Amino acid sequence: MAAESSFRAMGSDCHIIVVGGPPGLLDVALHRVDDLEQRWSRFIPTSEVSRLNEHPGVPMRVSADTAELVRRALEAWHLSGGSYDPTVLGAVLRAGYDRSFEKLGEEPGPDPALGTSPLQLGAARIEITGETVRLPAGTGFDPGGIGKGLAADLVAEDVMAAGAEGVCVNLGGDVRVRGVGPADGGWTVAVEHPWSDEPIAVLGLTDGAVATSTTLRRQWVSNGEQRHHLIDPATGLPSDTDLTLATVVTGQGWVAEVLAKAVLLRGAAHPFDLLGGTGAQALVVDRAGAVTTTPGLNEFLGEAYHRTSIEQPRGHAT
Amino acid sequence: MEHTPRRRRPHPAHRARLITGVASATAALTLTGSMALLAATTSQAAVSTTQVDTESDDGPVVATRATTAVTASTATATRAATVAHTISHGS
Repeated sequence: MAAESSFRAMGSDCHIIVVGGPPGLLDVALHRVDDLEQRWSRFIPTSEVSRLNEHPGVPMRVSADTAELVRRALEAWHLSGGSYDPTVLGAVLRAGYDRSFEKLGEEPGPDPALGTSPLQLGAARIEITGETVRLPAGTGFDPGGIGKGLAADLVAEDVMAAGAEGVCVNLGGDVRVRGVGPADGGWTVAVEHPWSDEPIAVLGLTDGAVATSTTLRRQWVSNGEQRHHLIDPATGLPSDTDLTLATVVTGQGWVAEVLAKAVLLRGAAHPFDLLGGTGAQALVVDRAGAVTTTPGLNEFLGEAYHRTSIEQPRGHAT
Repeated sequence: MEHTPRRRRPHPAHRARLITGVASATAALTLTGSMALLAATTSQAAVSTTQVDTESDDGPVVATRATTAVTASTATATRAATVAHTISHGS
């Protein structure tokens, strides 16, 4: 017996399926997602992340969940070689992403040329002791790029601990599955590209995570220029990567989300060089629509498939 | 300047629900026969710490900086059915 819900949270389309267990587990999952959003959203003034950002340089007591978010963010910074940086908030704001994505475009954002946010990078100087976090002065914390993946991990963990036989937590395309699927087998996750209604790949897994990052969603126009949310910490600017999408399969949602962005930033010349030793598998799509995968991704394909190319929409400039 | 063409597509969450509905109806046919486990690895992989030189490090010593390894467990594979339970559509 499975229960499921599709809903909006964390500025994204979300989808949760719970298999087995006592009644009410779906509600447990939904409340947990809301709870984590209330703690982590930088667009909710009362969130713990907002409080951290209001008081850089000051040790702040946070919940265990938020302490874990910061710890994982620092791990991710190391894991990605800096391609993910939790203190990229200043560059994100300077690019015009200064309100929830749904509200971008309602009114003009700040001029990126003016550099209205003075916040700088500073992940190396974040201090965390127990459940006390101190952001370095002059920095800000952005949960984007890790929050949904970690939230999917935490929600799945709670639901399984409460007695579910299986669970699939999909928060904005960052998917975490555990246990059995609705038909006593595993879980099947389709990977989609914005250019096509047909999946690029169909992946099967029983315990793990799939995350996809793309430059073709979350775009907005700021001062007449098309912008996207994927900031390259190395430049502080929206990435000019020649890949349009990267998907990573690995054991944990936060790792998958971080690596998907890191692979995307790497570009088509060496997309997978960061994955050695991580056990993660990946696929990428370049600007021409060509699909490239790591050899190990085949393990997740079974009798299903992945496409080798996607037709570029007519009139699309690369 | 790049333009992303607007295409009329079902809402992703709606599509996911539709696909899952199909999966439920055809589960016995599509999943039972194809979901034999491939017994893929579940090992822990150690990833060496990478130093990042994007900033000066003149601040106080940070406890978490001492992290020497990051672990990332691998996913466990099954054969994928052709009908998906959910969609990773990218963000």
